[in-house]
Amino acid sequence: MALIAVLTVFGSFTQANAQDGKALFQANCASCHNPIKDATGPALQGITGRAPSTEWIHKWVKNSAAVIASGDKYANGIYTKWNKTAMTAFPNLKEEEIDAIIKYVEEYKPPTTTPSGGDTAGSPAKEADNTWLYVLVTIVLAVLALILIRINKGLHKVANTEQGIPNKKDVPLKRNKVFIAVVGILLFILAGYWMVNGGVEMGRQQNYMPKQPIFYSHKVHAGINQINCQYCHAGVNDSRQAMIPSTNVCMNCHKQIGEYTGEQLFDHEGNKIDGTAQIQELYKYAGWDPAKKEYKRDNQGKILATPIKWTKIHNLADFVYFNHSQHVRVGKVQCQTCHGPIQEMDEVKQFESLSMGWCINCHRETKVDFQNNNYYSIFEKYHQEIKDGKRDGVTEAELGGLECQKCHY
Amino acid sequence: MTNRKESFYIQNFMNKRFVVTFLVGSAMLAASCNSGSIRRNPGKIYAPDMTYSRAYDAYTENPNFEDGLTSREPVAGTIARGHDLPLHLTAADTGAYYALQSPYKFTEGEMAEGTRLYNIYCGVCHGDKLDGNGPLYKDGSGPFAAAPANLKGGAAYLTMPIGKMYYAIVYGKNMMGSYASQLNVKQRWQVLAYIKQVQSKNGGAPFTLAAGSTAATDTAAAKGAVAAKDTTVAKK
Repeated sequence: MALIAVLTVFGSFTQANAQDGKALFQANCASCHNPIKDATGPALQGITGRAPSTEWIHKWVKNSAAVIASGDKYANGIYTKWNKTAMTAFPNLKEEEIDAIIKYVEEYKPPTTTPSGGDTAGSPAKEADNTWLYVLVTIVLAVLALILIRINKGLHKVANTEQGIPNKKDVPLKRNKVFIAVVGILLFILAGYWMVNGGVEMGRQQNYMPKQPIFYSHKVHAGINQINCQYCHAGVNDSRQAMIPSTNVCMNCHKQIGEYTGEQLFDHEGNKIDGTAQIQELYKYAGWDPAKKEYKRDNQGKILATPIKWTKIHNLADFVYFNHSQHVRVGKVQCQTCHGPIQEMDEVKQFESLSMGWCINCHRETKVDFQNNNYYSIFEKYHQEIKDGKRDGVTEAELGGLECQKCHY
Repeated sequence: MTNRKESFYIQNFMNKRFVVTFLVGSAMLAASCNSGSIRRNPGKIYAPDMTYSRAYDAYTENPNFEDGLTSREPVAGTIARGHDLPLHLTAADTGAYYALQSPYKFTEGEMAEGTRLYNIYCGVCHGDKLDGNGPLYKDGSGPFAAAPANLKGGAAYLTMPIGKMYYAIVYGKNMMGSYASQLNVKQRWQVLAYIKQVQSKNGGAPFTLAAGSTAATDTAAAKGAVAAKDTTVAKK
């Protein structure tokens, strides 16, 4: 009886340990170790096979410095391999707890992500299918209408001959004067529209989606991983430029993230993109050695990084002044207002035309954040009018946003 | 009969038809040059020298410098207007850094700005709730393999000196990179003030960085450490 009691107690104890393994690992180890990926310290899975003994692991976890100092060969080997990064000592961890952690690490399986690459591949094709379907349906309906008109005409003729009414002389459509006139005018209008539109559109670069040196997906970064736009474009609040991040900003995360594990990426043409290869490409620019996990430096200690030559997409003419901070910080305009749903774009395209008409239109329609904004404190008349209830807001146009020299000087 | 009519028609109208087709065709061609769906080239422009700046702009390539960059680093020994004085500390001066105290006291508005900055630059890993579980980690299912510090719950972080945190922002720590290029000095202290404020509500030391709160901290000691370091630099 007592034996059974002891056994059950022991059983539940070990079970609790196995569950605790995860919690203990998260609390003590996870900031430097991952079960299956190298981080500050090595990936821990398979440690029972690698390390000399379980006792050795216990000693190492409790005080790694002492193990190294004792001249232990294996300990010194990994110490030098990991650039002599000292591991924090955990003297308070009990041996059972360390065993629980090891058990958790050895049994760890990476969270499975459902491969839905096929779906993303299918969606653009589906859209194209739809268009063709519409075209087909239109053509079929048009042919049907034509046939019906013909039949109607034929029946009419037959009816006329039967009743003895003479049929009108059949003028072929292409010699019908009314028809020629209508078609002529229509073509003239269309051609005129095309020409004028083409002339106006020339020089605008809407939908421009250049190939970039690295396939950087805004969808993966800003969309799926929810990185704020300003994390990388840090200057948008204070500067004319939104700022293109230098590679050290990329490396804040990519020191750790060396492979792409998300959904299959495709470029606009539908070619498969290997995300991991793109990160490797970044490492070349950043001067990062992924094998040694350190920067390549010249003999003065300067990191051997080269800037990435991104292709500029949004280009305003030289005679137009545009300031990001003015719009983002003062105007509190969202990035997406001008750049479109950037968090859904794998490759960025110019979403808006950036024409002057487009700018002006927004200045006319947008009510600025007027009342809680120090920037506009000098507009006393408007403030008074708002107080008196004569107006409910102030548009940018009313603050001089249509003056030529606001943007052209 | 129809044949004769048709040939007559063609002869008579051939020229006109040709002209119309040509006009429409060329108009369509002109229109298609610069409109429609996604394109990989920027298209034609009327005046390239007006559209693309001839003057060097922030990100244009510059042949006058060896590294080809127009944006230059500040001249050695100068401070940009509105920026704080340098500390004259290097990554090796951990002791002096750890003793640092915030030179600022923040108003409510500045604290809100600190929160905003935290959410942008730190929250993505350390979590909006400061629990070390931001969208990049997501309990280990995110792409970032190492668990970010739980600034709210981890005992080591609750008691961590603010100067040590400042050091981590400037130089990085373990898998965390340096944020010196994204946050200026004041912004770093703003972020830290926000973190310390949240920590004070979760068992950390009382919050002292708000404007008006009395400074019960050893700022003098920190200043002394920096001053000592300054003199050593001067001696060199």
